[in-house]
Amino acid sequence: MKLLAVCGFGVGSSMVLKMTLQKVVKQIGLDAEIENTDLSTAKATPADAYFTSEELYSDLSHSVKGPVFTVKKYMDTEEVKNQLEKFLAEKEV
Amino acid sequence: MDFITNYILKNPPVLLGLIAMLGMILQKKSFSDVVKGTLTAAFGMTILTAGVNMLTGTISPINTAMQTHMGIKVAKGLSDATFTANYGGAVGLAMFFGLIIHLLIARFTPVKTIFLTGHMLWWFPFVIVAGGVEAGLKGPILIGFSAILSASYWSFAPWVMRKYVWAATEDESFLIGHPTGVLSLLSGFVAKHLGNKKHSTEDIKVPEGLSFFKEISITGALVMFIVNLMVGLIAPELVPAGGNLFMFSVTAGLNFGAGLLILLYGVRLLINQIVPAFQGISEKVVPGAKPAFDVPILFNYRPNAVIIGFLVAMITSTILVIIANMTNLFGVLLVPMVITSFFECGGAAVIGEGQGGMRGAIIGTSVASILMIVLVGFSAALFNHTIQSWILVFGGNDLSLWGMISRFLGNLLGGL
Repeated sequence: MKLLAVCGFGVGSSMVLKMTLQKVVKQIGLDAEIENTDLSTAKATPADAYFTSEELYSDLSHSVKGPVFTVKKYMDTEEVKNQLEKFLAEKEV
Repeated sequence: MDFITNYILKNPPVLLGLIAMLGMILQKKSFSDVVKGTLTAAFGMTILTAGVNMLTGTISPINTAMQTHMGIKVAKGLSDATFTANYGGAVGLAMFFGLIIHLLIARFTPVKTIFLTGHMLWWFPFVIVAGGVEAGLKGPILIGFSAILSASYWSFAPWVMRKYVWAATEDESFLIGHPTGVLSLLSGFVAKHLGNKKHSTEDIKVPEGLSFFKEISITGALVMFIVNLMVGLIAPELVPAGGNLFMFSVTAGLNFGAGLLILLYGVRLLINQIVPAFQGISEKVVPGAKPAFDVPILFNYRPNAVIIGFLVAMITSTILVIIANMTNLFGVLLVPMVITSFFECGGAAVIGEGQGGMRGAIIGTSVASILMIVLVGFSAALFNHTIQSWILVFGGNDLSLWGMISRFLGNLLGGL
């Protein structure tokens, strides 16, 4: 499974989000590959799910096939975990 | 020893690869991870250099054309391209030792900042080394001097901004580590005194049609296309004989946008190897330290303020750029500051909004964008033997300010 953390420049905040995602993925024992990238590259990169800020949500969700989830506090493992679990639940259905 | 100074330090990709390798061995990573990480960091540095060359390759012809047109002799010697090739190793070492000093500051002083904005871990030593080189420093003194200055920036700048940041986020768990510093401080200060918290930027609806501004490679390409067209009309020297101005400008715009994307990709490859290791170490050495993150984290809290701030900064600064260029105020041709207007002034707008609502955000950002032009003008003039074109694209913020401080302190040291 491939997860993508996205921010405008693709090097700063998305990196933080990636590290939080990695922590959460390890916690719940999921086998996933996580990368971070900028908005333009993300639009051209296939992934199972995308994680980004509220601000970039509509732009990104219009351009990619996979589901997009928003995170407000990038270092908050609880919030990221909630969003990731939401994705996993949707996938089950 | 000669081999190290002559071949390794002057070969940034190899040096950065070795630094990443050391980090991964210290983290006891598997053999396969160490090989992968080492090479990825080296690729990152190679790609980053290619991106910088593409960016500065579109900026320097503009300046050369204008200077030739006005009859000014064009400076020879080090340029953006040769600077990275010659001093990239010094920048890498300054970053490495700077990070150690930065951890020591967090461990032993009350300033418990851990700077986690990856690309700024690279760009601060980069401008500080350039300032030192301009001042005539070299060798171990240059590296030590740059490491100390970089570390003090990473430690103190986020700390100084903390009250304004926390007022905007209502969350004291993190800091902002980004060259928006001085612009945000000014914006916050002005907004606090002249703003009005009653009206918030977040009450209004910003049209969706403005959202393409968020993609900086696209905005950057458009602006560079227009700048080239305008400069070409004033100074026909811009286009090589037999060329067509319109197509030349299209190509320059495309190169600029693509250069930004390549630069980002290179920084990502390089920094992805270094930041997690650094965070791992800092969690062990300085438990409870506050992490300092990239400025877009702030954008989440006041997205409208960011767009409004960007527009205010873009308009104010472009008018100033035109005035400065017409009067040749700084002796160097300024180009519109798209990137700084978005990231640094966007941050300044969020801080201004936190202190004084919509009015605070607008007044604060417009004052900050005046400072931005002053900073970029003076610093670009100071860096005319090294990274002038780079500073014209990415300066006008703390990078410009600290580059100037470095140049000034370097001059004092050079006199010893």
